[in-house]
Amino acid sequence: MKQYYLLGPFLLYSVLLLAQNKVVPFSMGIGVGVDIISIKDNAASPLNYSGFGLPIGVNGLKINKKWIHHFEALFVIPAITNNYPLTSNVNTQLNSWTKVNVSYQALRCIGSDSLSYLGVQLKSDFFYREYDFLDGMSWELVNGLNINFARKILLSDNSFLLTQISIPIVAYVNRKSSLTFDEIFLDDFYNNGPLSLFKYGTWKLNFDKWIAVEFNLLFHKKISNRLNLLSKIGINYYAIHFPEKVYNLNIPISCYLNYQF
Amino acid sequence: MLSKLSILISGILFLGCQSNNLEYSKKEAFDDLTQSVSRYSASIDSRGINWDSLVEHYDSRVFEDLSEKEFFELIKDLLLEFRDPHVHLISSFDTMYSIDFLEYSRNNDELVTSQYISNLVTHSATIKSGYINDSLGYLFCSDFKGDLNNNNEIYESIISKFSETKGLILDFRVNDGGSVYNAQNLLNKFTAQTTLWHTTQNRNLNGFDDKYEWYLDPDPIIFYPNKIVVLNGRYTISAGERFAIGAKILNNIEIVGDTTSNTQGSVMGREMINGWKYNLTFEKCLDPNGINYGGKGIPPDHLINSNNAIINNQDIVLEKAIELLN
Repeated sequence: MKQYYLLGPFLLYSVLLLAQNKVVPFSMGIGVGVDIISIKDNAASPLNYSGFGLPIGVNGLKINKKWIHHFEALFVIPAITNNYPLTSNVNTQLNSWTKVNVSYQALRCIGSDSLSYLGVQLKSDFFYREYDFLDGMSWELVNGLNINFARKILLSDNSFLLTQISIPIVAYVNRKSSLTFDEIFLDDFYNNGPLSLFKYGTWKLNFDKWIAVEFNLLFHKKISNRLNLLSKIGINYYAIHFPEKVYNLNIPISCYLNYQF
Repeated sequence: MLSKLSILISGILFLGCQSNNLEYSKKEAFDDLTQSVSRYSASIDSRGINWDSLVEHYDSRVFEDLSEKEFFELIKDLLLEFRDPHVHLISSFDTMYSIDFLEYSRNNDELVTSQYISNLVTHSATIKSGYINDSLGYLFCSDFKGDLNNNNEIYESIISKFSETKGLILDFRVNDGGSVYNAQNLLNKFTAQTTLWHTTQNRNLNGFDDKYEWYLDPDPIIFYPNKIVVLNGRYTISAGERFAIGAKILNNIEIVGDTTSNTQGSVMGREMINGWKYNLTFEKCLDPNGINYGGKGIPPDHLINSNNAIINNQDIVLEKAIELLN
C-alpha cells in the first residue's frame, strides 16, 4: 500500500515534467469545418434563423515552454465555400450570408503546474446577412481584445486538449446605428463598397450594450514527424443591443492538418 | 473520448438543422407587428392615424382559433388603414398591395397616347422617347429603377436629342418610383442653379434622425432651357412623387394631370413571426417649405381628374400639356 503512496507523487511529477517539456514547433495548415449558427437580429426580423455553413480555414500553432501562439482564420463565403440557407421555424430563409472569423492568441503559462495559461486574443468577427425578400441586410463586425484563460489536459505523449474560456474586454463594434437602409446609406454602400460600412463603428467595453463570451476546446495530436492533427470546437455567444438587439450563438467546429516546419 | 465528442457533434448538428412546425401564436404575431410598426413607421402622425386606438380595436378581434385566411384579412385591414401604396402584406397564400384598395384610377392609356407620338424609341424596358408634332419632345418613364449611370446616359442622350424642341413633356403618370437618385439626375438637367429640393428624415427609436437636405445641382453636361410639362397621376408613386416636388419648385416646369399617389419616403421590409412579409414607409419627406405630402400626394398645377383623362380615344391630359407648350 505504501508503494502506491510513492507512485502518486511520481506520476504527478511525470505529468508536470511532460507538460513542461511539451514543445510543439511552429506548424501551419489548412482545414475545413462546420459552423453551426443561430441568430436573431431584431433590427431586421423578429425571427430566429439557424443553420450551418461549411467553412474553410487556415491556422498556425506554436507551443514552447512558456507560450502558446495560435492563429486561426475561418471563412464561410458563398463564392468559395458551401453555406446553406439559414432557416426560421416558419420556414423562411436567409440564402445569402457571409461569416469570417480571424483570431490570434498568445497565452503564457501561469502557476506551478505549467498546465494553466493566461493571455490575450485579438479577434475579428464578421457576420453579414442579406434579408433579400425584405430589401435589407444586416451585419456585425467586431474587432476586439479578449482575455483568455486556458488549461491544458495531456492525453498522451503525442496529444493534448486545451480548454479555454475567452472574455472580450474591449472591441470596435461595427453595426449600423439606425434601423433602416435609406438611399443615402445604400448609395454610399454601392459606390464605396464595404469600406463605407466602417463609419458605423463604435468602441465598446464588454457589458456595455455588447456582451460576448467564448468557450473553446482544442485537440492536438502529432501524427507523424511533420504532420499534426488539430481540431477545435467552440461555443461562442454575443449580444449587441443597438440599434436593436442581435443575439448570435455559434458552434464552430474545425479540423486542420498542420505541417510542422 | 472521441466517440463522446462525435455524439455531441451529431446532436448539435441535428439541433442546428431541424425544422420546426409552423405553429405560432397569433396574439404574439399581432403584438410584434404592431410594435414594429409603431417603432419603424414614419407615417403614423403624418397620416393622422391614431395607432393606439387602432391597435386596441384590432387586438380585440385576434383569437388563436382564427384561420390563416381570417388572420391575414385582419392584418390586411389593419395595414390598409395607412392608405399607403408602399404598404404590402405577403404570405404564402395571399398578397395585399395597398394601391389596389385605394380606388385610384389610372389616367393613361398607352395605346391612345401612342397616337400622338412619332419616332418612338425604346431606350430601356421602362424609358421611351419620341416627338409630338415634330416640335415637342416626349419622355415616358414608368419608373426610376435601374443603374444610375446607365439611366443618366439615357437621360443625357434624350435631352440632347430634344435640344432643338420648343418644349418637353415628361409622362410619369404610371411612374411607380425606384431610386431617388435617378429622379435627381433627370431634374438636374432642368435647373440652372443649385436649389433645395426636399429634406428627408429616417425613423429611429427616438423619433426621427436629423434632416438630410437634398439639392438639385445643374448637370455639368446638359441643360434643357425650355418649358417642360410633367404628366402625373394617382399612380405616380414614391420617387416619381419626389420628382413632382422638384417640378413644383422649378419655374420652367408645370404639372398636369391628377394628384400623385401619396407616399414619398423610402420603404423598408419586415417580417412577422409567422413569416409573412410586410412593407412600410420609414422616411419622412418634406418639401423645401416643410410641407409633408405623405398621405395626400402632390397636387398638379392643372388638375384633370383621372376619370376624365381618356375620353373618346383622346388623351386629355397630354392634349392639355401640348396646349400649354404651344
